[in-house]
Amino acid sequence: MSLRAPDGRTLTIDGTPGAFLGGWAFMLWVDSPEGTYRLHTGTAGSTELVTKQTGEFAGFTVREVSWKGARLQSFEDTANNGTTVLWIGAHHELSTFVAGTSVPLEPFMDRLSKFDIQDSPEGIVLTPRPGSGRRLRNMLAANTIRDVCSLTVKPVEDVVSYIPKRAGKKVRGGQLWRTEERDTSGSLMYRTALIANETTATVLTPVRDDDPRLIEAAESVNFSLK
Amino acid sequence: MQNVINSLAVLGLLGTVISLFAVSALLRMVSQLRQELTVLANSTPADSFSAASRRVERFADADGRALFVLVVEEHCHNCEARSRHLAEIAGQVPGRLALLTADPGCAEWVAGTGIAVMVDSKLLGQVAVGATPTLLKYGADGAEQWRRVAGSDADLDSYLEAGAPASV
Repeated sequence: MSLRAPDGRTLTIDGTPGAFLGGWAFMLWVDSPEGTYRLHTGTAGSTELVTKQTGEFAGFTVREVSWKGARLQSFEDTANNGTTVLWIGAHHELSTFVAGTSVPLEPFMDRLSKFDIQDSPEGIVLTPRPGSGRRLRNMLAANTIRDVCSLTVKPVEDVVSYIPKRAGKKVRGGQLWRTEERDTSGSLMYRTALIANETTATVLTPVRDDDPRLIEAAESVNFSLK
Repeated sequence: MQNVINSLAVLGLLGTVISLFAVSALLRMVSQLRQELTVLANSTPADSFSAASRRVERFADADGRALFVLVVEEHCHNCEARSRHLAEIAGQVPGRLALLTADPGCAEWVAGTGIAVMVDSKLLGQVAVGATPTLLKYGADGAEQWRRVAGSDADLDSYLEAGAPASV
């Protein structure tokens, strides 16, 4: 399975030991002369679907307009004083979160117009327009293997500092380490698995601690980003 | 042999002179470009794209009434929803109302109301709206006062009641 990442690279996934819960979502930061903001991508309509399933959608004030052949929506959450603003194309959507309510859509259009957006079944690619001063960084891909674990995949060059120096176990997708997530008091929250290879670093977080399927997944899955 | 050398020397000299002229012209162009970029960088958005500078003569009104124009497209379900809502509240709006579109089919959404329908691609290009539906307000002199995308019926109500939105 191959998909296009928002920065134009191709993420290839093989050896998955279980079914992914849905399409891959990406998160990335955009540096601009006005500041930095975060963008999320997902399959078209996924935010609406998920918020309907969680019951949040009923509390939203929804706005929608058409813009250059795509739909622009805003989900205004008065209870939490925030607004999710979305661009929805034929295959994928882009979203960002803005503090406050009664958020106009025009600033979001201005942000989007700084990119050439290519939406295809393989993925959505954002190319900063020449002279826009935009730069993408801190990309992260995320998905879930049903009932087993969540996965976050990052380009290995972004996370060199937290890859253990000691050698890991050799597995299909590179080297594997068991890592532990602890809270601020030092108590163990859960054990995770980290796989790193020449192009990606992947963290697998189990749904249930000590589920043996986590290691089975970690030993069989392979990610490559080129 | 001497003649050939002399000819080459003259040609070389001519080439040098032509090159100097070309470089001089190039420098002048770069200098002009820098001046224009400086002017552009120092200009405020109001200089280049102010609402008041966007005037449509045919939107002027001798009776001094403002004009609210809703720009819509046929294959935009929000445009239909906003247009039908506008038709419902048309009697309460202080001013003239119009629908501007390139699609004749949109006229049906406001049929039987006092809302004028302008099917005019050229005018649509002149108004230059990026998103639909967008509501624009024009003064009695035909100058644009503000424009806002109307993402919900409540937004449309608030723009028509409250006047110029603060963010535009």
